[in-house]
Amino acid sequence: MTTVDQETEFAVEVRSQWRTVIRRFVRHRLAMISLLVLAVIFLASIFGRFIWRFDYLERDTANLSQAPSWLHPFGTDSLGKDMLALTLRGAQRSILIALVVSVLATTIGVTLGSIAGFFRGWIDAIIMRITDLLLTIPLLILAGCISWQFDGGGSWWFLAVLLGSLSWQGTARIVRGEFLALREREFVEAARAIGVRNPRIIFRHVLPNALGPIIVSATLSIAGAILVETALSYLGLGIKAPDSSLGLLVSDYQAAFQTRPWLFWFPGIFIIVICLSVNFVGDGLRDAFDPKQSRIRK
Amino acid sequence: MGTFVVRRLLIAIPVLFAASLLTFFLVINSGDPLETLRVRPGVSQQVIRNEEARLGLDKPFVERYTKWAGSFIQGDMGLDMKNRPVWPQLWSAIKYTLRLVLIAEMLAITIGLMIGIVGGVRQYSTFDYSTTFVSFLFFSLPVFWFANLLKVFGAIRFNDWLEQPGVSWAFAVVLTAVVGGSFYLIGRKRERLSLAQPGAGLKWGGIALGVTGLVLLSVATYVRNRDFGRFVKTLGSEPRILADTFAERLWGYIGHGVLPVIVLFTISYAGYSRYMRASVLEQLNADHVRMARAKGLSETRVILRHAFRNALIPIATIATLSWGGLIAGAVITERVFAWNGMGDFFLDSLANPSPDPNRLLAFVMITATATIMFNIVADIIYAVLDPRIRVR
Repeated sequence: MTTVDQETEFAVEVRSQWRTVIRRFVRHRLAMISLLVLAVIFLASIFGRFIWRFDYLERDTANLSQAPSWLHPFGTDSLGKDMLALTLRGAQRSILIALVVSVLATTIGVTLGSIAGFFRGWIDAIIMRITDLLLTIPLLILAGCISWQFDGGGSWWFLAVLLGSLSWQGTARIVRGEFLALREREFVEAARAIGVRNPRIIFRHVLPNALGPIIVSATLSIAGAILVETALSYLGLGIKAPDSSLGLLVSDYQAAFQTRPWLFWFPGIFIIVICLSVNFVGDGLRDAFDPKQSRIRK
Repeated sequence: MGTFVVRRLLIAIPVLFAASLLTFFLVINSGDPLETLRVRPGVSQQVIRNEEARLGLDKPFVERYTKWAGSFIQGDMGLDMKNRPVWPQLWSAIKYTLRLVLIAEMLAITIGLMIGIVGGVRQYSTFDYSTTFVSFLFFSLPVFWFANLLKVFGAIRFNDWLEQPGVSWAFAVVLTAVVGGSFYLIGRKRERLSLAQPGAGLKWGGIALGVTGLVLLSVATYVRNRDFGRFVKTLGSEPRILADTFAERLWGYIGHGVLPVIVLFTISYAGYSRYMRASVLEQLNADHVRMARAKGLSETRVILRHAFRNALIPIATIATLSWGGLIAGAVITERVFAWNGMGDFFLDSLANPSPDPNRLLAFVMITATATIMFNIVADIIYAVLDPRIRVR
């Protein structure tokens, strides 16, 4: 690098693959804005309760069913609970669940997908039949059947683990496809020729090359997880009463739409903003990782 | 091709078997259906034992499963916990849901494909950016929230407006100005690109302004002179009292169906438009399209004959993928709009008062079979349309 600099005037900046990806992502304006929005919502939902003047359980009995005001920016419900605190609390639960779901689903999906794609044969056949099985029953149906029995104790991590262990099929298929393609490439053949063992080939040679699609699908699965979790909670099959979730909030306050619309608007808009940002970030990552899709932006 | 279909059908059997086994296992282990009966005072042990025998609770898991599977294979879905046969209930639910899902899906395919083509052809235009944003918005829309929103704005407020129609002057002025202005801008842009005669901007803008005004006026007078009743319904899957004439009946069905159809439309529209756009883009960069252009074919012909047709092929797969999402969406939509469809059937079976094995199994088997069939059909279509793909 330095020799090139000294020898010629045309300095060629050598970039690692990661630097290139990050550079492309940072240039994606919408994705960067979305990342910022996500960070703000995430931090507010985690640390907001230490700063905000109302707790989500606290009742401001002087201000029942108040429209949004300076004191209560999102208004209050009929018990005097502050809607901003409630929404942040719900968002915290929904985001945490979605993150756990995404991590778990990606881990399972990557493991099973790489095993299936690398070893092929009967292992592949068994794993793909399990994916087929899980793809035939819609996630909402399967999760509903299971989570129904855990009423009362419907703790958030149980729901998260449940959804995570049922939603890895997409990732597994993607990873399997990547492995099937990559294992035939020359560099893998070369590694095998010099006697590299299977685990090392998987972790050092194949997996890093499949990271792009994995990261993208992990990101997009966060949005999917939020939608499924809120839908389940809305139907009364997910997060239950003492705890809170954005879906549960919509379900609780949907009857109040005509009289106190602010109770209905804010949780729903939070879901949309979170999912929209996640989707935009995922889109930006896809553009950044896939050089074929790189585009000239005005 | 024949062997392919047979092979796929044979693979489907163990998958369906596993699905039923999984569901059976989950449902059987989720709570005691006789819980309330057991704690009720004055119920003799004999009554409880009879109930246990009727529901098969006294038998081991394997025996109960083989009994269910045996009758299922013979086409009998058994009785639910209230001793009613399952199939007639499920069949009536399927009819309602199919009506909803088919109409929504057809609309989504038609509109999604059209938008996708234009978005692909005019990549990075204002149109492309705005439709892309709408697709992302639909991807991120919580179904239950949107359905409730539609209930208030699409039904209650809209019906109020139909009863007390009136267009405020401010609204009329703003609407005509926006429509006229945007057509003026489009016209000016085409002028600049010398795609249109000079002066087209003003002409188009003026015409659009006039047409919008006329349409507004005629809609307002039409609505004022006609009694719609409260046309858009928020609850129920069909009119309670059937009207005499066909037209009136159709009108009633539309009133009940329009909002759920809109909700389900938003679920699958985004997928179609996005994939169609990507598919068109891929085709437009393909060699055969460059060849067609080089031959000097008109742009319309290049797009419709050479790009569009080939771009349609991958869409067959998307249609089957959206099925699972549609079923899940239908569960929520039917809950919000109180339709007696499959979603309602499913939720009822879950809490009736405890999960009902025969009902849930019937539901899962039907949806799973449908999913597998769709997948096979998609693969066949794919192979027929694209000769490069050989089915094995």
